[in-house]
Amino acid sequence: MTADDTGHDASVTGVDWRFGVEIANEFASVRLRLVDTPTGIRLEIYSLKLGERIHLDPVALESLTWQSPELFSTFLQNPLGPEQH
Amino acid sequence: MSADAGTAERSRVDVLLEQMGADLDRGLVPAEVFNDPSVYERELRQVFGRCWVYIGHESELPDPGDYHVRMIGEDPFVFVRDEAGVIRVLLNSCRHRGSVICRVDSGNTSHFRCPYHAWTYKNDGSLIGVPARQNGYRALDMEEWGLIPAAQVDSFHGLVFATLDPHAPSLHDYLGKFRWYLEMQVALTKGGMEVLGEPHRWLIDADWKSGAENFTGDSSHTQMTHRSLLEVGIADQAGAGKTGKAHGLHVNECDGHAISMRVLAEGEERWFDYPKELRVQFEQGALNEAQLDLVRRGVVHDGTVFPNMSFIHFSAREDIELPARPFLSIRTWQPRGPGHMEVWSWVLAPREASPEFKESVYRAAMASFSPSGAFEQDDAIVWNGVARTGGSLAAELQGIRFNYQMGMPGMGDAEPLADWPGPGTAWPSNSGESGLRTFHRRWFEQMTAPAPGAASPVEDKE
Repeated sequence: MTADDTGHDASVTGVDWRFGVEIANEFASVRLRLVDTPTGIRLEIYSLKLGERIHLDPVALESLTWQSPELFSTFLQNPLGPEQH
Repeated sequence: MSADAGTAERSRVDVLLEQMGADLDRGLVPAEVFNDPSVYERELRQVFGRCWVYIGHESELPDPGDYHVRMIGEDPFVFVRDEAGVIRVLLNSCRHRGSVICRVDSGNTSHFRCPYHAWTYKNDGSLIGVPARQNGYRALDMEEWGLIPAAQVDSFHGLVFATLDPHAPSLHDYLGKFRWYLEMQVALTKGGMEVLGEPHRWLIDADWKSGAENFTGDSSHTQMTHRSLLEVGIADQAGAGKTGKAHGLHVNECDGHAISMRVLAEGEERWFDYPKELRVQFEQGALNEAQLDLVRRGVVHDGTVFPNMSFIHFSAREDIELPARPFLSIRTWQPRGPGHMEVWSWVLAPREASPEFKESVYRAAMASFSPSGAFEQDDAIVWNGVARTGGSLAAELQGIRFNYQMGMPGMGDAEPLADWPGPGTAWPSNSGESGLRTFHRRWFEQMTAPAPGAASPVEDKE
């Protein structure tokens, strides 16, 4: 295991990002994997339960790093996604 | 209120308690209180519904979003550190229709999402998401429908307690003078204690009070119940040893809580077998000289915070070939129906100890005070018998009472110490059951206490 500058250990190592990694807790489970575009790369986040997915480029991902926890609460105002009841 | 288990049922408890009130001064406790459905129902409401109950240790929640499901009586609560770092104790029940939100024992999450209709809450308990809100819940006041926190939550040197009673005294006052003794267990170093690993849990066919009373200072059971451990050398005679005046100290009448200590003679040192590098830190810590002296001479300290949190500061061996290792075991005796309990047990060590030392501490604790530990297995066997007798027809029809008279005036040869430097009443002997009598007196008072707020009505803050 390796520790980053926050002191947290990375318990997942040796991930093949083409196949990705699934992370879950008892409330949600998602698969993360890298997907190629003809000229670049994006991170795909796929909801295993809801079937929703998003492809985020490095700029979008970087913008997440300074967001507050409240923003994610806003995202969850409709807990099952836009098309769900 | 569960209005009516029936007047007859209620009066049966009242009659039993009335009898107990008359018997307590003689050191007698009715057998039935250890296994009776109506007593059990009353104590869930009067004891667990109103006292401060131990939830867990702050070190179990190192990061935002960490959570564990913990119990107050038979009710599940989520013990969680929110994104802002605040520790919360929230009823594990969705405000929508009551379904249980956290189904696993532990995890990490920014939001809780109910598996029934997906009502979603921040990890501080506030409601932030309701499906189809615009179509069906437009006027829902989200602020009104957050997860329900315990009425009061507070901590003492990392020990987090909660109570369901908004009228309960502060935790500071509830622990009262017993804080002096708790500090010797959990405030040894500047960093305090840290929980090692996860709690062990197991079921015993015994009443929760059997564990709670035992840890107040049932010194005389060791020579019989745990005899085999002394014989093979897993615990030594000084630590778990003989009854009598030598090194035994019992402290009772300490705001309803009690502790038993075995210490070496004045001037000698034991430090529960903590190594030198930690002893130095103990001497630079927060304890005053009188407290430090009891730690310096300390062989074993065990006690109970009423109602159901106990501790033992002790040293034992993982194997008789290995050196003894000190540990603090904290346990709760959770009620699980009349004559049944679930034991929860945590191992703690000073935060400043090395990882290698903590590992050896954990292993020594596992070998002694855990479901696979020899001490623990011994106790379960004898406590089963208490509940069995408590639930017997003979106990009821023949009015069987158990004996807690050991060391009472006219029975014992010890007198309370006049120059004791700490709070409570201290006895220079462990040939007594004063701590157990304190426990049952406190239990009796709680069982017969007037309804919350009845004595001095206080307006609800809402």
